[in-house]
Order: sequence, then C-alpha cells, then structure tokens
Amino acid sequence: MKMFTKSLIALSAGSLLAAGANAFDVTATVSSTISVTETVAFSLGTVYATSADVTNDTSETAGTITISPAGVVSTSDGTAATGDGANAAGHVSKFVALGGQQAGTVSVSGAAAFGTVTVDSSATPVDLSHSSGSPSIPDIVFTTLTTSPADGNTLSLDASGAGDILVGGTFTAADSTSQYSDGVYTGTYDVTVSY
Amino acid sequence: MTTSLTSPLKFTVSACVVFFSLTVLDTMAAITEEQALSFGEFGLGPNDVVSTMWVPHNGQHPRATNKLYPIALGQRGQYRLTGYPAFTPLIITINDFQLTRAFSEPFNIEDITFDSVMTDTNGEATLIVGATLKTTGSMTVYGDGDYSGNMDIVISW
Repeated sequence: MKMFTKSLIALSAGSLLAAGANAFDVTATVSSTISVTETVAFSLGTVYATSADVTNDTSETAGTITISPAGVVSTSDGTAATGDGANAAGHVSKFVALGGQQAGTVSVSGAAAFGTVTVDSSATPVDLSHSSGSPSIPDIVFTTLTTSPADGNTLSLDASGAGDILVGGTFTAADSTSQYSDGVYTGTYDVTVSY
Repeated sequence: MTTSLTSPLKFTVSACVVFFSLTVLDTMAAITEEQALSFGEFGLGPNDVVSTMWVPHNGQHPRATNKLYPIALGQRGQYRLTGYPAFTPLIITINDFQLTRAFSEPFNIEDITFDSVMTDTNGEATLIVGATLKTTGSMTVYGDGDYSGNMDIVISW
C-alpha cells in the first residue's frame, strides 16, 4: 500500500500594519474674573456742611465739595437763601473741608501680565447717610464718581497683572429742610473692570 | 519479481489553506506622557472675534492674539515612544479636537505641529507636540473654570 499525503498550506499574510494609539489629556483654564479691591479708602474726611432748601426756596442752591482722583480738594458754595424756605435769608449751603479728605485707590490684581482692562465706573453711587439711619437727617449726595482712568478707558497692567485706579468724586449738600447732625456718614460706589 | 497489488492505490490529499489577514496592534509599542500639552491659564474679553493661544512645539514662547490674555503660560506636550522598530520613521497622526467644560462654549484645538520622528537604535523616540487654541468668536461667553479634552496620538510605521 502506498500512501501519499500531501499537505498544502497557503499563507496569505497580507500587509503587516503596526500601529499604536493613545489619548492624552490637554487642558486650559479660563480665569476672566479679576480681583478688584479698595486698598485706599475714598474719604470725604471731616467737613462742616449745611444743606439747602431748594424745593421751597428756588433761589437757593446747594454747595458742593470735590475730591479729584489726584486728591485735590475744592469746594463751591451754593447761592444764598432768600428766606422763602426753611433757611433764613442769607443762609449759604456749603462744605468746609476740615481735614482728612483722601482720594481712593482701587487695586486690580490677578489679571494678565501687561494686559489692559476697561474701567467701568458708570454705576450711580449711593449717597452718604448718617450712621443713626434717621430719616430726618439729610444725606450727603454722592453726585459724581470720578476715576482715573476715567469710565470706559483702559488701565494698563504691570508684569504681575496688577494696576491701580484712582477714585475721586463730587458731593452735594442735600435739598432738605433739616440740617446735618454730627456723626459718620457712609455711602458706596462701584468700580468694575473687564478684559 | 512479481508485484501483486492487493489494494488500489490510495491517495490522500490533505489541503490546508490558511489565510491570514493580519493587523497587529503591537502591544510592545508604548506612548508615555512626559509633559502634558497645556494652554495654561488666561482671561478672555468678549468672544466677538476668534482669539488664539499658540503653544509652539519648537520651544518658542507661547503667544496670544486678540482678546485672550495669558495669566500663566501653557507648555508643549512631550511624549516618549518606546517599543518600536529601530531606525524607523514613524507616521504620526493627530487630529484636531476640542477642549470642553460642562455648559460652556468649547475651545477648538487646531494647527497641531510636531517634527518628524525617527526611532533610535533602541526603537525609541521623543515626540514634542504644539498646537493652537482658538475661541469660537461666536459671542458666547466662556465661563471661568478648567477645560479639558483628549488628544489622540496615532502612530504607525
């Protein structure tokens, strides 16, 4: 007996494609929130102030006091009363600066190095009210907030992403039939910045 | 001499046909991250224009455009390739991708760059990757926080 055994092996190995694939994390952090802090308090200091009864004495006008962002203090007396209102004829609404007036500083930090931010000081400031909260004591009207850089302008930051905004403003005596009482008056203002 | 055939001649043919269609995912080859690609930390102005953060692969300083303000600079990615054939040019493929954060506008990662890679005598090489992060410019605000995404590195040879 004769046996033939034939083995046929056909090998098609195709193309040998070798590949490696991996996924790796990639990150970014957005920090568009910028820190803004009042590092020097904006202070009206100690003043002598008298109000004006403008409602009842239309000839009378209120006095003002202005502290520039550079810290320069100036005052403007009102027009004398005629006696038609609560104040006697000749009464003049005014502020007299007795000391301690100080421009404020709002410091920006944590922003991009050498970046610029836009200053927004357009919000209406809150009038200064007496610490007693009594409604019979007139407020000191916070008429205008003035900043340097001015509202809508840009502040250039330093290498650490920081910079200062100087703050000043104008205050006006209240239109009131009452006069001011001694004490502490406080108000607020808003300064915001954005890229 | 006489030969007597007592049985018919018997042929047994055994055919074994084996077809290989072989795709090898080489388990020896590895990609190890030595330094993650990062675009750092930055602030953003209004997203009304496409702003970019370019992290070059060649070691140049990262650079931003338009309304993207760097706070902490990012870094290029560096990856160690091992277990590949020696002295072999590798084909690197990295597609564009996105960095995302829940409920936020995504960043597009494009213009991915790297040098050509040839393995050394040990079958190893270093891959350095740079890329550009781009805002969408769609007016949608990017919220503060961490954004992340996966960069797929595909290597063949």
